[in-house]
Amino acid sequence: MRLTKENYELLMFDLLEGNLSEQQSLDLMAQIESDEFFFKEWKLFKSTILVAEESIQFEGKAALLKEEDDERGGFIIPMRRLYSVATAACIILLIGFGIQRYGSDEQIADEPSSEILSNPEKQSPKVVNEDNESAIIEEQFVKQEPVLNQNKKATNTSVKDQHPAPKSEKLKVTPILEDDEIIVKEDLEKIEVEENLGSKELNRIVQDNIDIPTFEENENQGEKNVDASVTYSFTERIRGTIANTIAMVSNPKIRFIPEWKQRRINIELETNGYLAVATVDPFNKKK
Amino acid sequence: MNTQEYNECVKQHSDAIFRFIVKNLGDAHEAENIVQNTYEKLWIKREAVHMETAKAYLFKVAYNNMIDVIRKNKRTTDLEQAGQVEAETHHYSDMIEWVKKAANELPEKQKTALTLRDFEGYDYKSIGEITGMNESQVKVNIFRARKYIKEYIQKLEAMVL
Repeated sequence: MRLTKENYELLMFDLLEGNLSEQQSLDLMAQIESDEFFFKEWKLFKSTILVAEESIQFEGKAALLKEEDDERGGFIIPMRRLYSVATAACIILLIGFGIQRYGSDEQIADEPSSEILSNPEKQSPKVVNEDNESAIIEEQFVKQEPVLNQNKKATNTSVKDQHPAPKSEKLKVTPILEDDEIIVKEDLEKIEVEENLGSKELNRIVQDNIDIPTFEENENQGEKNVDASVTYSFTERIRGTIANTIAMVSNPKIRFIPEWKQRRINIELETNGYLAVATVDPFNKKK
Repeated sequence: MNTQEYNECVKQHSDAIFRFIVKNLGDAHEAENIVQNTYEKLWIKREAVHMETAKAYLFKVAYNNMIDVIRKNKRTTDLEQAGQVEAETHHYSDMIEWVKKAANELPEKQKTALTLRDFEGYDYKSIGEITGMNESQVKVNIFRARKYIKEYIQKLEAMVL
């Protein structure tokens, strides 16, 4: 194996990489050391070995470590750049759905129906306290009687249980409300979502983790009842959008800032220092 | 892989993956995101990943993540780097700094292959499994990378001397 100016780079590379046998290496080194040009070239080749900088360390190890309890799943949110538009759209849809239900309750508070007026015990107190607005929403979801639904034949197709439609009186204690609670609390439940999943798969993941109720619209009902209903396809769309949003944002924090006098709600979604704000104005859009 | 093994992977490999990404991407913040994403994926797939292959799996996922980021940022990076090389070379008087600088200018495949080779000591086959190249391509890329760095240093030496 003769070292020449034509082949020395390849041979020195193989020598450096350890691709040669011991004998070949010894022969080559002898030739290198006996020639000034080759020796200089060899020194340069040797200097091309990158040295890892041990001082560079990943500071976020602690956050990656898992407790044994984590075995049962959950708590995985990929860090992503903000998809603010998609997020805002999702939240609007999501809250739009929630507000439709809530909206009926709000309407009760603002414009009490004759039924409520005739039965004051059913009327929840309307508290306008801006310091505790989220709690108000939650309280409204949980405690208010969905009076406008009382005559409605609702079909609950909540994904987890697929149980038959609850009577309207049961709405306040069905999983629907638990879902609402998940939605309104500060830190969303974190759901395992792999990358590059199709919408069906994302849908399934959300279905396994979040119940979103579905109501069939009863065209025979009056306008008031339509206010509190949502079609199956609409809910499916919401669910799909939620799935995509969950897959795209990390550490989401959602705040609901109602502006009761304007009959609207501002929704802020914060993730990784980014903030998306959407305003839901459901009551003025009701038909 | 159970939770304990997963945690062991975090302790053993997260620094190396972080260094690998930082070296190739030049963006510590983005590298942190990639490391986090990589381990999240490992956690999701933990039942399918064995401890023995976890390191290669982590590097492969991190590499794929990095490629996505590079592609996303390519135009910006190209624009930012244009014209900077010549202006900065005279600041590098130390050989290690020269090598670093030269390595940073390598094409993505060469840089990746070289850092996996030198930082982690991976053989050509393992590098190929991570990067999707065959062994010959890996070897060629590493050769070209070393040759480029060598010539880069030669030029700088000539300028200094």
